[in-house]
Amino acid sequence: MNADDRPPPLEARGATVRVDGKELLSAASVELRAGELLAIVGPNGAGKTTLLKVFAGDLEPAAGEVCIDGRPIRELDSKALARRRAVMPQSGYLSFLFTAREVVRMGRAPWSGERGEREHGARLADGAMGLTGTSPYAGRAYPTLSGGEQSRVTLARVLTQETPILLVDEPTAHLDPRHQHHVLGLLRDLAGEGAAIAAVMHDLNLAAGFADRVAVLSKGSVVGVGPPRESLAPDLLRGVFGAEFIWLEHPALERPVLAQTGRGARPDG
Amino acid sequence: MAERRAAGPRPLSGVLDRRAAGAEAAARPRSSASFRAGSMWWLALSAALIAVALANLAVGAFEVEVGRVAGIIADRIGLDALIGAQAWTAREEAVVWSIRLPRVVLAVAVGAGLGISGAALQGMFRNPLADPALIGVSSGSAFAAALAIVAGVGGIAGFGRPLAAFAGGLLTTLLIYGFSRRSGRMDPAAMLLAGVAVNAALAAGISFLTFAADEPELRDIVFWLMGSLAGSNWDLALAAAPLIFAAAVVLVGLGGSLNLLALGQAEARHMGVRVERTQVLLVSASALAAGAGVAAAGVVGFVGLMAPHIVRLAVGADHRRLMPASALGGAILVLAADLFARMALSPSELPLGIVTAIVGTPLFLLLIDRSRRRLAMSGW
Repeated sequence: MNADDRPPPLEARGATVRVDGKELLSAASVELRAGELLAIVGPNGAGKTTLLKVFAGDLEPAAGEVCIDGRPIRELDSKALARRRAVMPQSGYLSFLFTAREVVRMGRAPWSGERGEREHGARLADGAMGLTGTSPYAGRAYPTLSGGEQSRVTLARVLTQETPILLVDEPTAHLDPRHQHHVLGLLRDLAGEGAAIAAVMHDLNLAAGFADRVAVLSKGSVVGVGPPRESLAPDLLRGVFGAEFIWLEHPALERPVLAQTGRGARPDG
Repeated sequence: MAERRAAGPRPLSGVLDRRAAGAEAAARPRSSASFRAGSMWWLALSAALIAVALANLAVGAFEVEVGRVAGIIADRIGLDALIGAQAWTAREEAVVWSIRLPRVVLAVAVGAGLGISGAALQGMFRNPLADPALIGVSSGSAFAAALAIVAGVGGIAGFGRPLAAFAGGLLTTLLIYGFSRRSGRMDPAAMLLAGVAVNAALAAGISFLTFAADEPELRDIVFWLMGSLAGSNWDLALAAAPLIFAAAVVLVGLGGSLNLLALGQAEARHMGVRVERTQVLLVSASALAAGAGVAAAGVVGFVGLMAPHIVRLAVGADHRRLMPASALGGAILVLAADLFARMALSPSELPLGIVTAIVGTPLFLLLIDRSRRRLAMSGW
């Protein structure tokens, strides 16, 4: 994909993070390429969110470094950074009764003061709400929305920031199956427009179905990166998750699916 | 500004352009109706402020017709061309210009300062219960004022007492802020707790000072703690008002950042807010806005808590509108309360702080109840 030798939009090189003496991330090296959706998977506590925070510039690694377009991330001031990458948090508590639309418009903050921003920002905010299916409750107060609705409004806000790099923490966490597919399909489309997207995901099968590449984390280390069929190998998953998976041909889909079997099966099933 | 409209992918625009022909664009919501509602309320608040101010100037033990009030003020500020012959007496002019107007100016400044700092602090702490007292301005001022009284500093006319109160308030806020900072970051939760603790200590200090004070000093302290505008004069009004105005301008400018902070510190940072710098400005401007008022008029409770809540019902959560509206709302509340304080037991005066609490509490409860009912599930 990266035929030219431009540096990747975002790259962690040997990033190590320690908190209270515990190593949350050990010399992690992952690059995020333009035009791809990279899924970050791993068991609870593997360091997925930590990696995302390092990517976002929230955490400065004790060793190693993170670069945006080849430049160390700490050299960018907060506004320049906000124009390069947007971060979708896992859950959003919002004090005060801002309307959904007001929340989405906040995504334009890094661009305030630009010429024509008023109209441009309004167009993008409306467009993002249309794409996330949140227009119907644009005027409702954010705290009164359901978890899934809040999650999609937050996604609309993050998209409205219009950055080439998107970092999302469990974009499908509160969503029903229809909206899970809708949101991941939207992320795919954005990647198709050249966005570099890293998403922490829990559902391995969704990761397999939508991501271009998957990074598997275990105990703070990156133990595999690559296209889903390669990185989500049953042998590796057994070691990382302690659960059995197999790849199955699906009768309707063109791609195989990842199914959990054996020890992971529900005892009452 | 090297990164202006940085070249590179604009993913959302790309997807939107690709789907422009689709049905999505048709679902575009109408232009924001809430904004128009906001500007209407702006007018309503300004009109209310002027009306209450005129009432304060006209009404009292000595009544002056509203037309004459307007004439006196127009004459004094050089708009005498607008009015015909002087139709008022020298006594009326003295009452309106030298006694009531400085009191009105001070009431507006005190109320605006409390209202806007309340709005700013509720936003910063993401806590609807926050008010200026929380960051120690009030208790710090009160303690310093009580200390000044017991130590015999500054008579009623002198500036010694307000200056001591002002310094006390700002120092206390600084102390609380310093305590809540760790490795360059301020933790709002730590600041809330530190505020509660320091307030308790200062309350004990004030209790001790009232215990140690003699009879007239005690009366002075109690009077100061209950807040009053009875000591108003032009010197005091013109000292406090510009400080409060400057702080208010800073706070209004931070409205956009406060909106983003409502999403959380990390989220605000992700959207380009320099969080620490914003917090320092918010705390210091709030302390200044509230502290200058408290120094001049004593402790006027409840306004800083109440004004933002009342106007939030009308103008919504957006701090760019909420903060100027809270300043107006606070000014209206203090003016109305002061009118009541002067008239209720005329010719003697009620302490202002008692009025704001007694009149404010039921009003406030009513408003909360109404808003809760309107929003079945409240974010409060």
